[in-house]
Amino acid sequence: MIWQALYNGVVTGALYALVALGYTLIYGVARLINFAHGDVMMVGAYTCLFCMERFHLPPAPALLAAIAAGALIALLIERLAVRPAARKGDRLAPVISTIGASVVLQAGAGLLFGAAARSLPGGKLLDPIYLGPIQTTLAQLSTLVGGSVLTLVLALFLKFHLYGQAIRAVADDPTLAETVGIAPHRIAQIAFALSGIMAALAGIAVGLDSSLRPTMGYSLGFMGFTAAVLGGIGNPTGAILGAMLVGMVSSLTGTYLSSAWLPGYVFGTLALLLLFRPQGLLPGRKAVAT
Amino acid sequence: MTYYYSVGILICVAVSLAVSLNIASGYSRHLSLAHAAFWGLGAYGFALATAHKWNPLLALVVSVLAAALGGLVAAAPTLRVRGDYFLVVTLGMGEALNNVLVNLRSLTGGSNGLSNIVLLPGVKPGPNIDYYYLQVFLAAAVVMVVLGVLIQRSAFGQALRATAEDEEATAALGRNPTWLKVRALTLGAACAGLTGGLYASWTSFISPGIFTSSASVLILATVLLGGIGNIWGAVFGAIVLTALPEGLRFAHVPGANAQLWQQMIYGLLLILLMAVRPGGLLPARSGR
Amino acid sequence: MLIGSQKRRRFHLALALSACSALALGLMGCPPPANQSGISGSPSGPSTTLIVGFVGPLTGDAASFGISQKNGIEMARDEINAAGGVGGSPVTVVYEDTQLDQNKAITAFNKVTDSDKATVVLGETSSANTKAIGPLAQRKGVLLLSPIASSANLTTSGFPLFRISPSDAFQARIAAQYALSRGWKTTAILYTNDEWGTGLKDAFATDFKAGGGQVLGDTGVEPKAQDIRPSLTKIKSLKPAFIYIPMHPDEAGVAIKQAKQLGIASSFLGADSFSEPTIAKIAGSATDGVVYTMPASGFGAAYDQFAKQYQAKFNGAPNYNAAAGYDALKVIAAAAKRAGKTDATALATALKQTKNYEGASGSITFDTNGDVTSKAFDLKKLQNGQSTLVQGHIAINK
Repeated sequence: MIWQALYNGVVTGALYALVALGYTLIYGVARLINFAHGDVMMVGAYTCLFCMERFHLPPAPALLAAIAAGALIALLIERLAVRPAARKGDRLAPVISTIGASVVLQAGAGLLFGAAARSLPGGKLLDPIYLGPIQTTLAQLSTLVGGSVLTLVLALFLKFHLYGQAIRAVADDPTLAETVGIAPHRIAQIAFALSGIMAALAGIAVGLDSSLRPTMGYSLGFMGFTAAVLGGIGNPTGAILGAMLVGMVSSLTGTYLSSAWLPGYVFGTLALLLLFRPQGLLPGRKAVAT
Repeated sequence: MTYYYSVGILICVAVSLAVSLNIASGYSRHLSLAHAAFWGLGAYGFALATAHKWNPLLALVVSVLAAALGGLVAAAPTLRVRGDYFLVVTLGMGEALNNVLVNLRSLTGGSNGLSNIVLLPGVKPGPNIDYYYLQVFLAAAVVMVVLGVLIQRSAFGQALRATAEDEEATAALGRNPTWLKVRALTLGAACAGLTGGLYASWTSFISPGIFTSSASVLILATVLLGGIGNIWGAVFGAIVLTALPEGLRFAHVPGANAQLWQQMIYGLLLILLMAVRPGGLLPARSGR
Repeated sequence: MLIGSQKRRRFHLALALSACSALALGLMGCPPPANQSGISGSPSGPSTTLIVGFVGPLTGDAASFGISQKNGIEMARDEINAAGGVGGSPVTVVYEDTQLDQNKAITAFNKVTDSDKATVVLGETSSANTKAIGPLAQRKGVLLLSPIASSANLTTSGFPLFRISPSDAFQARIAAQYALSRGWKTTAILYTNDEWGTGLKDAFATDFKAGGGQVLGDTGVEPKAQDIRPSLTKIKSLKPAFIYIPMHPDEAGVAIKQAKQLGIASSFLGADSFSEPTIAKIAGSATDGVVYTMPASGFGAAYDQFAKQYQAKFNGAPNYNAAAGYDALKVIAAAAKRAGKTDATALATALKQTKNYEGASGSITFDTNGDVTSKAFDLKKLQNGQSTLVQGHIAINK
């Protein structure tokens, strides 16, 4: 049982990492907690479902459509909800605006697709595969592998690509970045688009592995956010670390203790951490404590 | 008439919760999404105390203390973090408390809730209790509004607003920002707790399903509508957001999707409000 | 700080507000206006007009439950009125939406009883909201009947309540008996951590153990949980003969799907939530072979008649909730005919006399608590998303 539990934790961690990286990227660049991030995930999942059911597209184009939708919605959130509300010194208004965006997206999904849960047709991807003492599926393995590849690509992008470096510059010191000619709006857009892509993929992973609902983004979003905070918000490596930690805690406590208490455990971990180390495990770009 | 009394009571509850949220975190702009949890702590405090045959008035004190304690516990790890951060952390706190209420079945009755909660002394059982309770809730709401206004105009309130604008400067001037925020949060939580105790007594049945994150979001929405840190704005927001759905009852708005459209409109309104008037619908009061 | 005029203004404000609160507190001592007491009789129509209120979720997440009941009630009302109504006057039904929110349930209840002068209220859909409006009904002397609330603890809730649907305790018992009859000696219970799931879990465990079975463990999951693997991993290691799974459709589907992926070999035994198509939609072929309990319906002359007319009016087959709503209004009308009056007390007495009423949702006889113990249950099996009957009309033996 221990191997299965550990493996479950790793896969869950990979999923949370996709979500956490999105939060951390946006926070690093825009100093903003995007409440609608979980709902971007939901949009990606539903787009994939819609393409496959309504237009009978094969998986690959549906996936691409989902990714495009995720990036698009994220950009719309940035342009319509965040930017109009962003004012010098007022950190709260854009965050509340993203709450509004979240509500709109959930209501919209409810109106278009109904509240009943659905599932992405996984077919062969969901057949159980036996790897020694562990049971898994191709879908889960894809999440693991895909998530790792994506994270690697992101890391390389941030380190070597011009725009990636620009993102790190803005995250480090926005004023300085502006003086050397980096346009904060353009960088914010890139960060949002990237987060949207990752969120869409996370949504598809969840849609395959469990189910789709208009409100599916809420709990996953919260877990991803907790992971990002745990790891040190603004720090991508921290996000991954935090995600693995949260994934492991959920899996192990759920398996050995009781999953009825899961929200309590997760929040308890977060609260303890904030009590003793509010900046998270790894130093973030900008310390969270004032 | 009990229909109008019960709507009136719910408006007073909404006003009390909105005003207490402003006291707790509106002035310092450290908005919390855990307010329904303090409301719940007060309700459960009252229900459990009276279940052990305590005098209802004493039980109300328990409500206040339980919620204040909750506020204190909430404040400890979280007030060192920034405002926008605080929002999400308090969300988690509310979820955790709800989880505790559901799981500690032997203590709280779990999801079954607690029934047969006693009436306040002086209220005769019968069809008229709403009439009496309306006056109690009205009095409580008025007291909280007065409290809110007094704080708004006091040195304490000024210090809180200063903290919102620039914590470092406030600290440099000799006021401890964290301690200020802790006091505000505890006081606001205590007020929410009192509302909870009265609420439990009125409905005679409470369950964890009432005190959820959605409820916290609604309370936050009432404050945002009227303007953060603006007491009269909070009153306005609470009245509008409570009376409106009830008013719509008589309009017979059809369609199973009505609630979803309502939700969508709220969300769009929120975005619009933040873009155009982040200070809330009522004009900002400059006379402090 | 504050200058002189500001201080004065503040003082005046505090004074004014304190005066208001003192006035309010003082008024508490005064008796309420005279027209408050007791049930409001209908001032306009004749006193034998039956006015019924329905309070339930007509919009929101649980809307389908409320709308199904409403459809059934509408049909019943049309039928009753076509046959001359009650006491010579047509029956009036008023519907109010609660969105399954407790506060809205209270105001909805008050509205139908005050403004619309209903003497009977049909509601609510959830056990929690029923517990919220029960004391109100008791206080106002209004008859409360819930078509579908099923929590076992409503029997001992302390206020008078009639129910059309059998208590969950019976459902769990039937399931336990079935499991024992299959020779399944060990179980693990995976349940939704709310009132319904916990109630079924407790009742099932009691009955299963009483019959000689062994409960190896149980684990609760949040409603709408997405990742049930940790709990399933734990259950898998216990190797039970079968898994009892009182979960709502959203998470039940995920649980069955992920159980298959984890290679869990145990059979599943479910509750009435498994009649929802959502579960097969999520879990696909993994649901094949799952057996579940369901209040018996869909049989008998009354049902056939009802289903035919329902199909004609609403263009679809009725579900259990619609049949329950239909029966609810019909038994009330029958009681009103027996009593010759429409006030709540007379109705309650007459309703208690309901014996073997053959309704669309089964045979209805109320016991002294207002619960129905005459209904039977079906055991059904899922195959390719369709339910087939395994064993029908299992009577509840107390």
